[in-house]
Amino acid sequence: MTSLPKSTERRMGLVIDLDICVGCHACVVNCKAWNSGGYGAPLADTDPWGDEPSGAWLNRVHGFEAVSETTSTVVHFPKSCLHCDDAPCVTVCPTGASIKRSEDGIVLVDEDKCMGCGLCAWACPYGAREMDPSEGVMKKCTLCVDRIYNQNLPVEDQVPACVRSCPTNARHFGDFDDPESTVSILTKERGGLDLMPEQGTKPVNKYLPPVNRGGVEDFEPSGLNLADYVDREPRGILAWADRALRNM
Amino acid sequence: MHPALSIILFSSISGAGFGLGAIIGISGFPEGSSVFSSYPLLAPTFFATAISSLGLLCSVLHLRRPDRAWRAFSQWRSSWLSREGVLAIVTLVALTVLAFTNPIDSIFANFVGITASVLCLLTVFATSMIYTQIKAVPAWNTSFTPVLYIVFAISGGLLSSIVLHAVFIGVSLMKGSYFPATYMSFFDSFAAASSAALFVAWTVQFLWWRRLDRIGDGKSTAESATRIEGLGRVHLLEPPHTGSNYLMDEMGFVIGRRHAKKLRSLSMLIGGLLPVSSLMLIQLIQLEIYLVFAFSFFALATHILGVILSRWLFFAEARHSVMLYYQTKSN
Repeated sequence: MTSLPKSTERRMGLVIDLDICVGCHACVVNCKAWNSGGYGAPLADTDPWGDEPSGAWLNRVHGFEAVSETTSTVVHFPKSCLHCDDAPCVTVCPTGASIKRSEDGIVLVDEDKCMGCGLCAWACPYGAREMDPSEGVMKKCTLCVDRIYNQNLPVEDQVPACVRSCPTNARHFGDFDDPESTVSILTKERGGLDLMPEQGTKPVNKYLPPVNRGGVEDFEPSGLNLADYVDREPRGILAWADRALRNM
Repeated sequence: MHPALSIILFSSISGAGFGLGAIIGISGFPEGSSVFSSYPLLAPTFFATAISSLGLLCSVLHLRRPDRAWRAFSQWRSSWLSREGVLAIVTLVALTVLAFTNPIDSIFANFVGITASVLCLLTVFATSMIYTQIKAVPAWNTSFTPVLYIVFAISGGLLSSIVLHAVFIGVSLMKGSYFPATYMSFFDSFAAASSAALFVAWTVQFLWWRRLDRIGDGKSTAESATRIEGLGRVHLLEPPHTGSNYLMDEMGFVIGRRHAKKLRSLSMLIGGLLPVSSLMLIQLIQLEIYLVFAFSFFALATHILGVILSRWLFFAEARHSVMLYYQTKSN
């Protein structure tokens, strides 16, 4: 049923720390790897080794530059489904393929029901849904529903693939309805933000904004001049080699 | 937004078909309201259902898994696309009932006719709501959009109905059968109504474009999309991948905006001025019936061509908020 549940028992989601992410794309690659080999349509690529590779990915890292009068900051920005409380992608679905689960709030696509009309991808303001180029069904982040409840995996692996692979601990997984959870505490202490709040989607996932480290006025030069190390005249055997080579 | 031909043809053609259905529904009864009312309604309703069905079939071409299209009738509680599908089927059934309704039972006939008309316009309304509901596309997200779709359905329906009037008059002449003088006056009043409808339709389209120019890209910005506004103006430095992707292909159409102003004028010229001129020519000069048919058909064909062009712009000019994550220049 593509009507939204009035409330969900838990609100599972991610906190993404923009202050920590270094843009290594490990989460992107591990997401693709896990979701190409797990359940459902295989998250295909077209022309993967050719001139114009393209394909469906559920998590992508953009690199933004924020420019003010005194600073220029590069922010690595991982983007995946935000599992919105008021998910517009779910209600537009005509076939019943898109659902928001009442038990944990995860937004999922039933790939056996999807007719590939693409309307849900239009309805999502964030671009979290991509059509599988080979199967013709809509793909999206499942919050690794096939990992987080999988008792056959070691406990440390029972988190989404992107969270498990992050080498800098920039991604956190948990229940936002539990005030004691890591995600709730991080959101509270670091001022976690919604993306595009004006769209009225009430995203579950929160982004921790990067800390403003001040402009060039605050910058203190260390006195270190790299040129000193480069332009130094060679000594000893190197000086002899240098002279010899010049005279050749 | 990428202007897919299947969807453009879907809304333009099904709109004209259901528009014709709505006109037949209210002018088919009682006798003496139109040429339609003097004949069994089988023939005109056949055209209305055929044109609408052709439009609906175009929409199926857009689906990647058309074998599952039947599932689209299930989610009418929440989805406008599903409602549109259900209403389209109910309307086609109503038009079929209308085709076989005996006009002698005038109360029942009027009931069927008005019901079919209302259903036709409701279907067009549901089509428009598929786009109107999408907040991520501010160009569409306005109550102006349903008005736009309905006025164009009516203008397309009226122009189709005058073509049918010309056909009916021509057939009567060929058979040499009884041909009341009122037929030509029916034609004239439908032509006048068409001209008025064309004027209203393109005025609404003009105002819709005026609004689009005023709102620009809407409320969302690259700053609200990334929430790093505290650090300054935001633009994309490194794209997430080297090639294109589904989102960019589907939502990142820019060619349309480059020539938008010229194409707007062209669509108004082809879809508004040419049909009105053609209708005026019929009124001013006493023409043979086959020429009346030819000019009526020309008016309808140019109108639909103009609507197709304006619907192409409807997509090509509309900007989706996801493109804020891909813009390399800050505003």
